[in-house]
Amino acid sequence: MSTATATDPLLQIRGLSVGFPTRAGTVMAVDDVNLSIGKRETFGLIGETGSGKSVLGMAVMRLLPNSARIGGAIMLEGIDILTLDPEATRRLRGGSIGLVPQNPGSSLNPVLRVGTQIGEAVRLHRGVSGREAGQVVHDLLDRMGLPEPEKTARQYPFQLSGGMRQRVLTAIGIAGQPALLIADEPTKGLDAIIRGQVIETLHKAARETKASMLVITHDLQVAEQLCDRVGVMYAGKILEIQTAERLFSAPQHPYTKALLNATPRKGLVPLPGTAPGLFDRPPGCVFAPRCGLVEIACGEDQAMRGMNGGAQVRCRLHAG
Amino acid sequence: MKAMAIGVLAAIAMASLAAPWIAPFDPNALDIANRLAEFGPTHPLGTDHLGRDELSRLLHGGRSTILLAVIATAATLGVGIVFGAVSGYFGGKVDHAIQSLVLLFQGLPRISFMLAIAGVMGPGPFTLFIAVVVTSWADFARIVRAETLKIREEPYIEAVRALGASPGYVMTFYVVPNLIGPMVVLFTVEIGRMILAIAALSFLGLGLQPPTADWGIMISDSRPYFRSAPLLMIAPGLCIAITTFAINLLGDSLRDRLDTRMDGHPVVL
Repeated sequence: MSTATATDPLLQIRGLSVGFPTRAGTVMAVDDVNLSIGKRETFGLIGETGSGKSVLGMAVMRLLPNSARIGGAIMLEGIDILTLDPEATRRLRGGSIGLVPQNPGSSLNPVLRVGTQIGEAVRLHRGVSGREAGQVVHDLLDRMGLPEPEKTARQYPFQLSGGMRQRVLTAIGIAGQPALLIADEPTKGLDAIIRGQVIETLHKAARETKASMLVITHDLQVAEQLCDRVGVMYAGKILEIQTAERLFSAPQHPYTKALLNATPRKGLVPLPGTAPGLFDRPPGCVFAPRCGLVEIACGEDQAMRGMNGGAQVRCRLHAG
Repeated sequence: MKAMAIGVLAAIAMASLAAPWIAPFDPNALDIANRLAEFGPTHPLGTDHLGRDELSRLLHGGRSTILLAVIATAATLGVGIVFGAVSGYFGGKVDHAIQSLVLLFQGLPRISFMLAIAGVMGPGPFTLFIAVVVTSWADFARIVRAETLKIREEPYIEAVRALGASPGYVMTFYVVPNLIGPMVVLFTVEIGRMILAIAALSFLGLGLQPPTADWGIMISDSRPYFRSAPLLMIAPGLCIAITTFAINLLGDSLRDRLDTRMDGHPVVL
């Protein structure tokens, strides 16, 4: 697949598929995903719950359970990270790739001070220790906009507000100076004000560390405000990739259109039916059963096709 | 209830610790002329069959029993945490191997096994210690494993793994510290059981040896004189019962306070 990105890609995912064997057969959580993220680019992955976007993120972190069947390649700066040995994988996690996990409430160890937890990442990946590491920790907290970094570093997670914890997690994510920062549902379960703060914090983190960012979210607003390009995921497949601006102004795939029409701005038009379960993925186009524009050709799997203006769409409407 | 339990325990612990200074007599000083004396001004709880002062022996007896119970419980818990946490965190073949071992040890008939250990090693406090640790660690390991399985799924474990932490690091700084809450509860509840086990073994003559002042030995020694001097058996029996009861009460209230999953908040004792 040739991608028309303006910059050299930092991350290139080729033909990635992730399956989980179960008694009822193998469940494909991620199916034939191709995407690339350029240097300093922020890429958003949007999709419903169960569309496979978090599994994709975990695959990039190499954090999937051992039972997962992974196919394809994930190239980070020219190296296929799926072939790394455990030692190199540990250096990769937190080093080359930082993670801002979901659930700020439970993603911090309740029995360690937040300064200690940020310090772990600093010591592991920057090779500094002691007083110097403490200084880096304070610096990180300060850059993430936490008031009184020295005091915050000595506090336990339960003493901080949700917004502060999210900023601590972001500080941990960038502590190892990663080339790629993955934010997994960074705004899940947060109120509007904290959500705004999170968007701002992530934006700042990406800008200051010059890192590329993969934002996994089901919050369309986050994707629109934070991302340069956005991929739409549905039932394990990516249906459309476009620049954020064009995706929200001129969506191409019928699913993206329906998704945007369901937002309050566009009149809350509900999308009929429900997303297919993991066991009853339709043959051919995964969206066909809910699509208003079905034809016989939809019974065959469609490939991603590049369009004028850099968009990629997986739909027969855009064939040749 | 909790305040009462703590008060009683504190009193027992202080009395035991201060025994050498507050006991009116040497616990092993014989006074055959005065054997099986009734309680009175000189001997507040009377004397036993060798004329030893019952109160002094009770005070000293608390020391060995409670100390041994604390050490044995701590050791059992230590073994249980190591096996349970490794088993729960790593899962798979490691888990299978350790759990097979746990089942094997849980299947051992306790008292007979303790008797066997005492038979091989000879009676004494060290034998007692080994016997209770060997027969109790498996229960602890199971409980710790169950807790570990819960902690393993916490998002903060995944978060630190995403930082590139090694399994040993995750175990030491993330799994075990978060086990402390439930372990404190388990520890208190288990100490009560341990006191009973030690008293039982001493009663059978397998633990501490006469003339050591020990509650279990005192009960054992007083058997032939139960009709004429019932206090000799009742007093140490009551001591064991009250201590165990107070510890269990404390364990229960600690469980109520700490074991409610406080939304991942740390345990503040």
